[in-house]
Amino acid sequence: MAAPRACRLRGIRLVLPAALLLAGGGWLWPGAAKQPPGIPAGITADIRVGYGGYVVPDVWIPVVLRLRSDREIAGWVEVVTARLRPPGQERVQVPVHLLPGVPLRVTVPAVVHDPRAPLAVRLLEKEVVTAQWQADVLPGRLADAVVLGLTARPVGLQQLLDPGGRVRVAYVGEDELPARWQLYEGVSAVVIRDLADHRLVPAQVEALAGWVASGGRLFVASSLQELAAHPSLRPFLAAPVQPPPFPGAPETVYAWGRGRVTVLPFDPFRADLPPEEGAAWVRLLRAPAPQAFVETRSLLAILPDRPGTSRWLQGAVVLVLALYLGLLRTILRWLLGGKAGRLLAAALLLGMTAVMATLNLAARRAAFSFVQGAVALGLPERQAAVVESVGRVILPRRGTFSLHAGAEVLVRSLGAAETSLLLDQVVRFEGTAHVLPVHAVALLPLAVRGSYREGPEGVEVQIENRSGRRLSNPVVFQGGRIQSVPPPEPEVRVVLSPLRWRDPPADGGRDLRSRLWAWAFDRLRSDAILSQTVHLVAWLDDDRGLLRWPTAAPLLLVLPLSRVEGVP
Amino acid sequence: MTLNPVTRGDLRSRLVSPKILWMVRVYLAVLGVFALASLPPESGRLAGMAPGQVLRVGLVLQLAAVVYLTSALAAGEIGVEGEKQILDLAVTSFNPRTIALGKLWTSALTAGGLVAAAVPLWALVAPPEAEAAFALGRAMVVMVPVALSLAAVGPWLTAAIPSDLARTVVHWSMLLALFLATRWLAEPLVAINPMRLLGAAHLGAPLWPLALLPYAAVVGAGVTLATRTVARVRRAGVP
Repeated sequence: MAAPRACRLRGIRLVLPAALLLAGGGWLWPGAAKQPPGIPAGITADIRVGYGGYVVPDVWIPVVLRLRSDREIAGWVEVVTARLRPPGQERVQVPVHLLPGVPLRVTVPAVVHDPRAPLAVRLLEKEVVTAQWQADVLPGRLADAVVLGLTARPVGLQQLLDPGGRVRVAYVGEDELPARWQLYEGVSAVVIRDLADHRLVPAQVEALAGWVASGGRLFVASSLQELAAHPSLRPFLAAPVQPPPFPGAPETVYAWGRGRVTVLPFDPFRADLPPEEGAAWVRLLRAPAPQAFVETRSLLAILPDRPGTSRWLQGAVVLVLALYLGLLRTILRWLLGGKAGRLLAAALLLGMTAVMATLNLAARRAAFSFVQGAVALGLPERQAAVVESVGRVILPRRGTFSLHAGAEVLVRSLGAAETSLLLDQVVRFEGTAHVLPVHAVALLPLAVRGSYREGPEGVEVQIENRSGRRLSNPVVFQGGRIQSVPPPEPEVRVVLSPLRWRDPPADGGRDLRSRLWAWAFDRLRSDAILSQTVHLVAWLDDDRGLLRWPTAAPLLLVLPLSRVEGVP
Repeated sequence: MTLNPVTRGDLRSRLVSPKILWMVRVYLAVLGVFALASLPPESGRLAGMAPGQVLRVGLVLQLAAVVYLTSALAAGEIGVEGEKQILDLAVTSFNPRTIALGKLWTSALTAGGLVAAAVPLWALVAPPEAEAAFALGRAMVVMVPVALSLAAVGPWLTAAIPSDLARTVVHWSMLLALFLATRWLAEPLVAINPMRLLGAAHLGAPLWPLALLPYAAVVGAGVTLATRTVARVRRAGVP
């Protein structure tokens, strides 16, 4: 086995054993896995789990497969990860079309919950497993986070990290940068020294920018002139410049959404880094990354634990039952009243049955749906928003719940369940648990932006909404207080009165929308300790939103407003 | 078609009886609470019980209630104001067979009425699929002959056992025998156990109607016993 590999492969499917014994083990890439015994001849796979071989548990990581087949195969590749507590499996499927003799590179997002449980990688054809491999995660390759180093000479960064720590450096090439921003979840920083733009696809550029905007840290070791020469990095230069985080730190820092792009005036990969620069660099790397605005657990905590039958439905059922019991005397009397009376009694019984059946349908429709809270954190620089949604799936009596996921959405279960995620298609949850917490995240286009400037008359706010979605009940949050503003249709410019600021609601009450509303201000107040950014908070119509859930869900928009200098 | 005069009299008494009204209300209220607790997703909250099982438990509960109430009314354990037992009817001019069949009809209509009264409640919790509705219908149909088998013996019990306490003890013994003792029968006789029969009808097991034959035999025996008792009373003055 080659040194940097994270996974060891062995075949577990016994198909054409004689042919495989003859085929033996083959090597597809340098340092790639041995051709496992037990798979059909003519199909090979190289499997790389994680970032440069390092695996960060419990976050989305890339599983990169390089497949090759002697015949044409149109099917699916699935990666199955298991966990012990709570027990369950997660299955992510990606469509593949293999042409004879042409290697195909596929990246499958996966979450490794239990490093002791190997990953199963399967190639399916017409829903039949054609080949299957197993990838073990070696204990020495586990990490708390990974620093991605994009350089032509993969040495130099690891000397700066605490050897006893669990943050590892993974040197990657351009083609190894994730094309889904969620796959940066286990990455604490990206350091770029050598970048060949032509080797990046637009999705990788988008993913990098989206990750930085959602709170990622990007370090670029080059001059500003060199930076401007890179088309994929040039947009960062248009972002507002921030003061250095500490004295002696690099002075060129751009604020990109919640994240930062720092231009390093030195080469951090150098072995002979001067002590001052080395110290500053270590301090930069060890600085905590911006806290995610949406804390999954805190958002989940505001949802009702067990939605159950709604109160109005329970009330309606009790009312109808009471009415039925009250009408019993009349029914019994009608039965004595000849043929007409018996017909009336039968009609009443039939009507009551119809009412109950209607209530039954209403209860079922509500019961199998999803109670969710979704927050869209606007990233005006990208004309996009990171939408995070947590909720609880009510598994119906057959134990399976399916829903359609929009493009770019990754969904995972936070409880015990078998989860099947067919990328861009269907998410299916199967399990014995009755209520299953789930988490979905996506980066969606959202053309909403706003700015503010402070003048002698107060704060002037300008908001522009070109998203095609309606914003309702917008308020501006500044310094722990809020003030309502008119909805932008599509633009609004208003000077906020110093007399109309009020405290945001502290307690959300029982209604989910109110609780989500209060939760957002609570998070903004916590954020305000670190940053004095002014925010717009509003409800966002989400009929074309993140996931096509059976029921509508409140979607809250939190949009940082950019500061504009000068007099209004 | 004219209704049996004995049945007509019994029904008139039962339909105006406040005791029967409250009995049916309590019966429906208990089933209603059960149905409310079985509403999805509430049913999944019962530990160790799947939603489908909740429905079956509810059906067993209803079966027990229908069998008990029907047979207790027939055996005079639950007395209804104005309703005449077969000893009272023996001194009338009605044919003994008319009296026995009239009592049987009364019990059949009572059991059918109790089952029908619960239909709206099951409409509240039944899965909204045609197959599930048929399964539920089969299970509810089974309740009537099972209840009728014990109720058919009831009129004879009222004549044969004058003591209310002794009659109640015998009635409960019969109930326990029907529901519990039949569980220890060997295959395939165990199929006559009311709960097994209910389950078989609900699931649509093959040949489940065959298990109703012993119940039909008991009904026939009960009618014969009641007819002979009335005839004996008329002939000898004592049952």
